Amino acid sequence: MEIGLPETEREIVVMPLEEPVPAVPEELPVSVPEPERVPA
Amino acid sequence: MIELYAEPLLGWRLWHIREGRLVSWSQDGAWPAGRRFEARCNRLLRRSCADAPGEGHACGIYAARTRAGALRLLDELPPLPVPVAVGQVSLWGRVFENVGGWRAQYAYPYALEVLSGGENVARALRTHYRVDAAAHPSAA
Repeated sequence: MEIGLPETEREIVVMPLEEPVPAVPEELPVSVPEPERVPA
Repeated sequence: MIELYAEPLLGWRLWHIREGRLVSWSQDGAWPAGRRFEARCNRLLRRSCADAPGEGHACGIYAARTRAGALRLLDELPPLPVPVAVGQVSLWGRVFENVGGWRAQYAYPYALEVLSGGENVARALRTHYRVDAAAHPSAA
């Protein structure tokens, strides 16, 4: 992607108070039911 | 003197989509969900910079100022047999601003439009990245 010549660029710093990243729920591990315990 | 901004910049980008994930044209790795995408300097023949984007380098996450500027990439490259999305992207961190756009240190998609691939692809992007994503009316 062409955005311009190196001679025409200028450096800036962008420091938002919060990063613009939405919370994505972590994938929960699939819970495996414990096998039923059979009384001895 | 370096200017300081408190709000993220919004640029335009083009991605191709693999398995519901955004992939840059110039790289094979997918953009992560729920955390920022960080620029790396992959200069091979000369010393790479420690903190991309570097001054005088070509590294950084590129974004155009306009949608048309991002879409121009489609005219320059052969068509891909995978879905394509155009969209806005938040940019922050250290940024080099130029007349046609920016190259930034950090980025995350802001809103996406699937140009080819249809509603199923848009839904996968919404679910994965938690941002707006819609299928273009002409998308198959």
